[in-house]
Amino acid sequence: MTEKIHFTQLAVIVYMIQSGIILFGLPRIVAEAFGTNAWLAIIGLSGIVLINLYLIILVYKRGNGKSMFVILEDGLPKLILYPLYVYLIVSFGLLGVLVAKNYALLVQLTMFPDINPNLLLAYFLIVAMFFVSKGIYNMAKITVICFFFTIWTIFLLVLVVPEFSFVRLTPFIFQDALDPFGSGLDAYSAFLGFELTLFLIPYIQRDGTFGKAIVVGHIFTTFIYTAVCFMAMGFFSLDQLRATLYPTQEILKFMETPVIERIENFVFGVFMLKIIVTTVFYHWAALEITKQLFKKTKKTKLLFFLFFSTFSIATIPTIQREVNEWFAIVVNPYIFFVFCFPLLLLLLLWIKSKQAGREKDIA
Amino acid sequence: MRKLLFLLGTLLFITGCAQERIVEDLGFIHSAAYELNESENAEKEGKLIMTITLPQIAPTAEDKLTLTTTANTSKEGRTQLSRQTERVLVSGQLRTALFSDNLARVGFLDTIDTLKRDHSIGLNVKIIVVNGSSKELLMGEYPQHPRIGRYIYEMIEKEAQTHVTVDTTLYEFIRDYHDDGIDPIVPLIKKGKEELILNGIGLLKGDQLVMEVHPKDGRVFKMLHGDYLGGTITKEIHLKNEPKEDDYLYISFNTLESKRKVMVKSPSEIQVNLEVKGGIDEYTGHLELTEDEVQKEIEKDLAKYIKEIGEKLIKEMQEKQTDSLGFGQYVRNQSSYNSWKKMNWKEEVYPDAKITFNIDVKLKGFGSVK
Repeated sequence: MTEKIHFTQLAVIVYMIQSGIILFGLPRIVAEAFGTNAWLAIIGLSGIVLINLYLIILVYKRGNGKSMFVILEDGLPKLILYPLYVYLIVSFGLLGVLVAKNYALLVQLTMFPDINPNLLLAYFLIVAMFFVSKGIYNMAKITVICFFFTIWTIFLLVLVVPEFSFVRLTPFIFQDALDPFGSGLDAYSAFLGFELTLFLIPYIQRDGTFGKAIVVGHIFTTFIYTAVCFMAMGFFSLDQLRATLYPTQEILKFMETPVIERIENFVFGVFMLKIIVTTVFYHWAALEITKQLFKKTKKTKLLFFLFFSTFSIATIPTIQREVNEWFAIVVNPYIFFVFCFPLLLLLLLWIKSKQAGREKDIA
Repeated sequence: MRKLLFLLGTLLFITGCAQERIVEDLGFIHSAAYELNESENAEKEGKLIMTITLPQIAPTAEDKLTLTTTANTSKEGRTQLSRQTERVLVSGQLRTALFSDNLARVGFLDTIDTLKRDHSIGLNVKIIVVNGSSKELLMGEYPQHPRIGRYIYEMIEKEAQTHVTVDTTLYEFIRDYHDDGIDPIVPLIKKGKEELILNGIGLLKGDQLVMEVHPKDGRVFKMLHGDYLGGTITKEIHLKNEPKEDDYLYISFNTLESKRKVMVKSPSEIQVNLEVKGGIDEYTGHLELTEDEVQKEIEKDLAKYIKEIGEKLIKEMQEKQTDSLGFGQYVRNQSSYNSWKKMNWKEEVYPDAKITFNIDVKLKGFGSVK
């Protein structure tokens, strides 16, 4: 019996890839985008993602659990296929590594101001490389462990309940929105990661729970995001929230427990596990495509080369602003692409089935 | 392979040497005080007088370390202070930030900026305003309290529990500063002969100190401010059937429990409903407190007292245009978004608003005597 990814594992993977470093800034981003009571907007954004997820589930159903690569290679000429592969490798590689670089810069900014962030990044990527080298089934298991190591942090929100005030939340909905489109797109990018499930299709249990698993994972992310933003908006006043770069981190900074004060450095360390899962899965997806391109090359060589190149690229931006600029360049077209990609796959499947139908008729 | 692992292991362990911080070499700044330099050549010397204290391991007076300098900004000051000590100054343990009232009157958000910007500083730093010179306060000799930083911190914390004052943290200060419906409040302290004295509550308009609440009125102010438990009020009392003939008649209420409800009838008409419960723990008269009539009279008398003080405070706050009680938040939440944005609440509506108090006092008990 061959190993398969279980329902729960898949749901956890979806959540772990989605939520990452953006959680630290998310309350500010939505407040900038949508103004008062912006936490409600998370639910709206999540709805758009659900439509996207529905398309992915359709791909799974229509394709009968066929690998995405099979669908693509059957339906597309190489002239289109290879540039598409290259685009995907570049996007995945950059997304994965920029998230890591952002984390390294944040660590430098908040904890070790005189350490070279590239050193941190190098260590981080070495761990990530070993992680990816274990293969998808082991990656799924490690992700579940990482999930249990990090999920308790959500209960820390209870510590700020005494400071929460409904009066501060105001009864206004989406007033004083500064940048609904630009920052809204940023907020939407917080949900990215679900698209990688397309790559997981051949590895999951064929018991029809694929759709349920990714929706459950996504709903869980939505819940976490909404809870954090809701708490932040009752904890900070609106203008204060907008003036705070990483509100979630500030909330952690505020917490005092009888045992530890300034809990945020500890939680920040734990958060590394979330970031690493995001980085790892994007690299894994990039590696999967690279394998399609270089079918004869040894896997370990490809792996090493992939990580080496993403690392080399990530050393170029040296400050957070540059990283964010790069990120925006990669992520904005990518969001659009992610939405259309399942449509493309569905189209290919449809053409295929039409062809098959016609062949049957002729026969 | 083994060599590679060894190399990786070594690399991992030597990361610890990248940024050494040895505790003995560090000077943890515990309190930082800022004062406006009012001397003639302030332009040349720097606009801020900055003073810091570092806690010492042995709590003897000789060991006390307080440094002071004049600079334009807080971080410039720190660099100069650093030249006076062999230790590396770090601000991660900062607990109290003191501002002289001369600085607080012109506004001190610019000085606070560094506290919120610096990642190593926590959000629980207490913001305190000093009546008089904050430099003299920190440099002062307090033989009973050699650890001045801790002395200030613990005193404020304790007094805030009995609601004589508030213990405003950096987080609360910035939060209320940025909120358009409330103004921040801060504790006030001053220097006594060989001790520090808590001097009430300072009310701000934006980031400027505009009004001071006397410590005696502190508890009533806090009743108007929100829901609080604890604290005492002592007042003179003349009951109707008082048999005692001299004038030495006082009553004290303890563990006061107050609940506030703000009702906005219109932006210019606000009613505050207060529910106060308290026990009597001191009474110098001769009446039987067990009698219902007497209790009711005392309740009425206390309600009247709270109302009088409340009205006095609110009148002054309206004059000074400081909405420290946060009525603006309630008005905002009752209005439509556009009418709130158009309304110039703090400058136009609030100063002339009709704010009335409805006070309901209940006696919980009168101690262990009959």
